[in-house]
Amino acid sequence: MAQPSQNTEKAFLKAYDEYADAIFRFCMVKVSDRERALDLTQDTFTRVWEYSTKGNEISNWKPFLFRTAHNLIIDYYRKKKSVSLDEMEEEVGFLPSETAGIPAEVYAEYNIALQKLNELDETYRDPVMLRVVEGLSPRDIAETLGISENVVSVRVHRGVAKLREIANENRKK
Amino acid sequence: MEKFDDIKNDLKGLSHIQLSKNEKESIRDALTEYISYKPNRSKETYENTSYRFWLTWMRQPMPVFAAVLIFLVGGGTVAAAEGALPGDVLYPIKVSVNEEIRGTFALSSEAKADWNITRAERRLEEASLLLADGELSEETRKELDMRIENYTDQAQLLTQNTRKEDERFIVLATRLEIARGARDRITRAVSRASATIAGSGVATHEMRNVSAFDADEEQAPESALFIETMRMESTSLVPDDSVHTTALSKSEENAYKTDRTVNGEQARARTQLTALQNRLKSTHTFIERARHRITESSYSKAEEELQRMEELLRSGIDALAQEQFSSASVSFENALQLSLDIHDIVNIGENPIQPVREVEFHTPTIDPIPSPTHLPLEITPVETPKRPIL
Repeated sequence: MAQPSQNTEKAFLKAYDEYADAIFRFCMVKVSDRERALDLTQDTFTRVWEYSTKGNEISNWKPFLFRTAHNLIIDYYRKKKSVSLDEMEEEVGFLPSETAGIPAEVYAEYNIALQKLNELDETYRDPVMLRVVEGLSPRDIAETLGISENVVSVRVHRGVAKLREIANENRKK
Repeated sequence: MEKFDDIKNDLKGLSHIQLSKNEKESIRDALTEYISYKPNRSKETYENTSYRFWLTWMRQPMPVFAAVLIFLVGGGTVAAAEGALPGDVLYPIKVSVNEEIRGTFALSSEAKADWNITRAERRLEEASLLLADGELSEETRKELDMRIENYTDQAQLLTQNTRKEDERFIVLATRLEIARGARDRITRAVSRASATIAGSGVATHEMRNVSAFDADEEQAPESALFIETMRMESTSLVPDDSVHTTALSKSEENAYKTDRTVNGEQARARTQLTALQNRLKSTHTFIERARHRITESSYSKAEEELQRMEELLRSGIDALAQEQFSSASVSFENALQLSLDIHDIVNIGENPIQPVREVEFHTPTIDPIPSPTHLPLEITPVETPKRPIL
């Protein structure tokens, strides 16, 4: 029979295999720097493992990982106050390292999506991304962002409405 | 349930952001290794084994010794030891207690490397303070030199796995290089002093004259100056590549890697610029203070060299403005070397001991540990004109 510690290891590595891309994507959209996003992704999993080594049980890995990543990103910006967020937001469009094989239309699609997301106010951006792109439940988003479930629902609703409004305006143009 | 398939469709392009296969495997390997290094324990086990914390400390005699010593002699002594210099009673506490304890708080490789470089900088600062007081004996210099070599080698080892283009690596590499440069300068300064002593036979006077260059009144000593400017720069000069978000083709990606190197060169050049600006001021003050005791021709020669320093500073700044960082670095380094020659002109005579050395620029790198023969541990005898001190 497997030891509890072995089960935790398996669960942790399984969580890595399942959510590493999502965590990396979350970090990447937030910091717009591939190298930094890679570091943050690794740090996220390292911190979560450290937490579990202290005898803490993690029942729902996905929101816990997102919350850890979210906190690390906040720490990153605190340390990096000199960097203008607006400046970073303007310079979107950083491709994965294996860019050569990605068709131009796929890349364009990625850029367009990021631009659309960045048109949203920051308040709505995270809840919308976590709900729409990552498929987290409002409850998990609430846990990730440290806000109430109701607030999450309201922000997702308003964010989505705003994106639709922008899309309609663009169509009229 | 909310329906947002249309928005999901609009944002589906974001899913193109993902880890490459290599990246994913690489992080997984690192995590697997980390897990084996730090295995998981159940809550009960964790709580029951908290006493192992003490056992862990018992396995490290130095921190335990330090803790006992702090208890016995009191925190005041330990704090007082921070200002101790080699030869002082409290110096062993500073090096073997205070620093060992601080070292135990550095957990990651980078933090450990950082702490090792800081220790090297502390030894440099001690050497420069002793030099300023004319009390840096050859024995002490060798001992400090050995410690510095040990710390810098350890720092090198610890940063071997850091990505070379990582900004933290560039900062550590630059600090390491500057620390080594400062160590060489101190070695040269002692070497010059020894050579002069041998030539003139006025040991103490000359030694103090040598040190006076760096410690003139309230001017910071040479290496302390370096270290200070280096610390000042270390935070502001971190290559700000977090804003690098432009879409990259393969060729552009290569260019981006080059940019990272340029950032390292830029950090180095700017650090040198600050050091040079400070050095110019202290050299100017040094010449003016020495004016009454040197000949008119020595004074003119020193002034001439000072102007050359200023010219090199200007050309370095121009190169910096044109983003020719390696060229700027060479100018700054040559100007810094000139300041040593000015010191010789003032203390020895019009003919500098050595001509200005053209410095070959090299990008800060952390190579495998060099063999001891690569490090200038021994004082090289320098031929000096046997002139009386004026």
